[in-house]
Amino acid sequence: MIVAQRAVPGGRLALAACLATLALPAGAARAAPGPTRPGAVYSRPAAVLSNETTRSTWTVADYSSIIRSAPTPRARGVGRLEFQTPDGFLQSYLLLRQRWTRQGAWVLLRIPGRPNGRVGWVRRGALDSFHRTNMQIVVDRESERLTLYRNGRAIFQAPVGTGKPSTPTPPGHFWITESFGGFGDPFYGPWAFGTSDYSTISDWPGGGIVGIHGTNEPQLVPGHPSHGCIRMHNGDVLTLERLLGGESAIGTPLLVK
Amino acid sequence: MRKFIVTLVSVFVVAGLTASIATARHGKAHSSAPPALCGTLYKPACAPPGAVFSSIAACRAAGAAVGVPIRLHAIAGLKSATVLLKGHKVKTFNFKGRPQNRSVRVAFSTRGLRPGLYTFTVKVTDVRGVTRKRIGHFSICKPKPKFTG
Repeated sequence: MIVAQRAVPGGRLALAACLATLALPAGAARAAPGPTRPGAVYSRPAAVLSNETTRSTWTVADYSSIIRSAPTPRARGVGRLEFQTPDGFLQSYLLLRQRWTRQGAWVLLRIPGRPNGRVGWVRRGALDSFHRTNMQIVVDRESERLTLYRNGRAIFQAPVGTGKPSTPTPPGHFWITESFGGFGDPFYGPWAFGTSDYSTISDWPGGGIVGIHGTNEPQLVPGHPSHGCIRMHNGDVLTLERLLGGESAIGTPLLVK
Repeated sequence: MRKFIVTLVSVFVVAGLTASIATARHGKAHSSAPPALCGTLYKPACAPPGAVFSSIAACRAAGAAVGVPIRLHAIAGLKSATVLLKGHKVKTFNFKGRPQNRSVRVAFSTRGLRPGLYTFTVKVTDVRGVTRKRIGHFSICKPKPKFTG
């Protein structure tokens, strides 16, 4: 507008301003891609909800909803929000980003289950209140060590046993979905955490969830003794449980490398 | 002429009395329902009331009480809130003095509940009569891991 006023002097100024006003929306629509289409994304930048190291956000589903490949209602469905894990906990979801469209807010989240590593978009309204954590668990399969980070600083390290070469622990970004003790099974030790990581064994009861748990065979840790689970000494798993706050461990990001 | 003046005065008197009675009634009606704290020229715009709480991600064994802290808010002022589990009223809160924020806690008895997913509803109403509801979930289960080991 200002450029037009300066370029056209005198009485033609008003006419030029009117023409510029009429021409502006069409030009703007051509210049800015997308926002005229229903469901298109506003130019407002997406909010990062998790960096999966020092700040992570998680929640559970309030309503059943289709998870889509893009933040529009017409995008391809890649899954559905589940309410419960195979062990009966509420299914938690790690949230990565939030984006605003003409239909409201959409959230990019990690999808638990096979194949590992899927992500998708879901409407914000289908999700519960958000929870935040500054903790992260890193499992290094080569060095056979688990490290717990708080605000990016290592606060705890312990040796672990991971999957055998025939049934390796799948690598990637995951999170803790279950946290329980008092189940009275010495095989899993005094405390166990369920994760969103699914092992290569698909016919296991419960779908083959990779867990982080204690053991009744401590001599096999560190090493590669398991079917995919991450085994720890019983004392170490109890320390991990204390540091993560028991049930508050749910939503803690897990990196298996 | 005199008759006309008397009639006119009496009409004015009757009209005045009727108007004063109507005003008194109107005032009484207003005083019984407190005015909303929003929605006028000098007060903030009214927004619907709301409840803030979280579902419980960890599963609970049957018999253990499930406690949920709930924060209620209404710009117009809170009137009441009702908590329902499986369609049955668990607790009702009635508020006096049009508070805009209140924190309450509800404990669900899980005695006799079978393992599974349970949905509870919080309905909150403000002094304008506007109601909003939100749902949350908790889970009853026998915690036993089924990991690959």
